[in-house]
Parts: sequence; C-alpha cells; structure tokens
Amino acid sequence: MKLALVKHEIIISDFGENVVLFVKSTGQTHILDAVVLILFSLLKNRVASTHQELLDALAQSEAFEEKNLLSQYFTDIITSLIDIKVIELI
Amino acid sequence: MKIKDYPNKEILRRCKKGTLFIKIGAFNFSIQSPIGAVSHNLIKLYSEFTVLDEHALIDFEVLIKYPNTLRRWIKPQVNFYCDGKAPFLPLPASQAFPFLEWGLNWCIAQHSLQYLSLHAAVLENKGTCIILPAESGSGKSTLTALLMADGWRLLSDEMTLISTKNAMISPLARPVSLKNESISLLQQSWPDAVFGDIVDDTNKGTISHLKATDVSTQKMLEQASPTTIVFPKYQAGAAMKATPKDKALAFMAVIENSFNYGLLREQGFNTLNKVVQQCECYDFTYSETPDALAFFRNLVNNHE
Repeated sequence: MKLALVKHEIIISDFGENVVLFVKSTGQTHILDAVVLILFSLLKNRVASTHQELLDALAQSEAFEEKNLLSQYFTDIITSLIDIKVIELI
Repeated sequence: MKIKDYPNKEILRRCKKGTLFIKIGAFNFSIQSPIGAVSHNLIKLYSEFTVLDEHALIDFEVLIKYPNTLRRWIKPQVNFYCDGKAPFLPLPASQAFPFLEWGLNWCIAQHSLQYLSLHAAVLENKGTCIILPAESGSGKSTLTALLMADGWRLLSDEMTLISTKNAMISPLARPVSLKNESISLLQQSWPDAVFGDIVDDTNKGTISHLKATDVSTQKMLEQASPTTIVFPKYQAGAAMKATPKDKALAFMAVIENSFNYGLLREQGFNTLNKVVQQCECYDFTYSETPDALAFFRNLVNNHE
C-alpha cells in the first residue's frame, strides 16, 4: 500500500513549531506538529510513498535507537493524518 | 437623532407601538415591547444610539411581550420574538431587559455570516485593539468594564464580529453585562457610570447592564484592526501573569469561542488565520485590578 496526499484538500497555516490545518472535505481544523510539513514535502515530491520509505526518509540521519523512537512518533503522525483524511492509502 | 434627543414619552410610545428603530453597529433593529422595564432601560443604556426613521431597512424585528395565557398575570413571564418566531422558552417578566439583550446577541450570532463571530469582548485604545475570548466565569465582562473605565473604547462585551472580507472588527458598543459581585465592584470604582436595573435570580445570577461610554457609541461605525488576543482569567489571590501563547494554540482556543466558525468553513479559517497571524497572543491571569490595567496600558505603550 502506498501513501498519497489527498489532493487539494487542505489549507495550512504555519506557526513555527505547530501548524494549523483546515481539511476542506471535513470542514475540520487540526493542530499538528510542524514536522508534517516535511512529510507533505516528501509525499508531494514522490521521494517516498510507502509507509516504510517515509519512515526511512524522515529518520535517515539518526542513530539506531533514535531511529526507532522517531519511527514510532512518525507512525503516530501518519496514522493521525490518515484519520483526518489528509493523506490516504492507495 | 439619538434616543436621548427624544422625550422619554415618545420613546415609550414608539417602543410600545413597534415603531422604535435603532441602529446598533452595522445592524438595524426594530424593538417593540409594552413592558416598562424594557423601554426604561433602553432609554437609560442606549441613549447615544441613533434612532432610524420609518423608511429604514430593518435587519431584525424584535418583540418582548407577555404571553396570552395565565402566565401574563400569575408568576408573569415574557417571550422573546425575532421576526415573529420565539427561539427561546419564556423567562420571568422581571428578566425582560436581560432577555432582550440575550435575544439581540442571538439575532446577530445566528444570522450574520458576513462576520466570524466570537464569544469575546473587544476594546481599542490608540490603535491597540485587543480581543478577549473567554468562557463564562473568567471575569471577561468585569475586566472589559474596568478597561472601559480606564479610557478604552468598547467595541463589544459579548460578541466580537470579524469581517470575513478584511478581518476588521465591527463595533456594537452595547451595554456590558455585569454579574453578581462585579456590579458593586464597578459601582464603587466608577461612580459616574450608568447602570441598568439590577435583576436577581437569572440563570447567571444577579445581573445589571453598564452603559458604554460616549466615545464608544460615537465611534460605533469605526472598525478596528485587531493587534492582540488576550485569554483572561480572574483568579482570586493569584499574582498577575501574562504568558505569550503559541499562536497555533491560540488559533484553536479562539475556535472554541466562536459561534459560527464551523458554518463559515474555509472563509472562517482564512479570516481567523489573518487575525492570529497579525496578533500577539497571551494567556493572562490576574486578581488585582491595578495590575491588570497596567498590563493593558503597557500593551498600548509598546504598540505606539
């Protein structure tokens, strides 16, 4: 399964550490860690598309232990983004 | 002409007959009531408001009257109507004027989608325009009244109206609704202020309305650009503390205090985004009035 951004569905306001997202399809507004911007960039530029490829790209420069922790963190964020219909499994 | 320019008898007559048309900020209201407490408080608290002529286009026709039942005489009640419909259950007749005030809030909040409307006070002083979003019981109205006594222009006590076109705030300058201990606090600290009737046993406790200052009503058509969002919290005995608030968190907290953000969807997001981007945001705890006033004066000084 690959991950993809749901097209034309979000408006982002960047406030530094956090971003506020408006999801057009649901009318909901969410606050998220600004790290999602990196994730969006990876998906937009098709640098990575599977869950594992995304995790590898996001935590590539980290040591093994940190990599595991970050993987869990990013997995949670990816799950949240799927839940709020910002990214989808295709 | 303003309400104060008419003899009281004429305002009473128009109010009874349904020909009292008042401009409140961007809205034209027709206010009708045969109940003396309603017209007397209007004369007292809305004296600086403009009376419109009979050809004016009316946005809301409001009526407060006794029901045509036994409750007209036994434990009398009153009903509130907006454009012929009664959106609320009746209230005791002694609460007729507060009922009108709550009803006016409802009319504006429910029908004005050209604005992002917030449950928040808003005041302006020398170009510094602060929004005070707060839950009930946070001391928002008391702080608003104290700031007005300190020279701030009141734009609104209960409802902040932000234009979805340009993110500017439209004033209403209606009376400030004070509750319980804050009534005597303001009566003592501001002896020249004009208060409406004291009404006991409402669902918010004892209530009295405080008239907006003349400068507030004179500038009622002058929009203001927000510069600061302060989330106030009165806490007895607490030392004053003003903490800069993360703007993303402030954004979400303002949504919690909005009446129609969900209805406005993308327009609501874009309007609020513009406001939050341009404002400094603070969490503010206080217990002593002089400390609070000093904090807000500093905001003005820093902005100048």
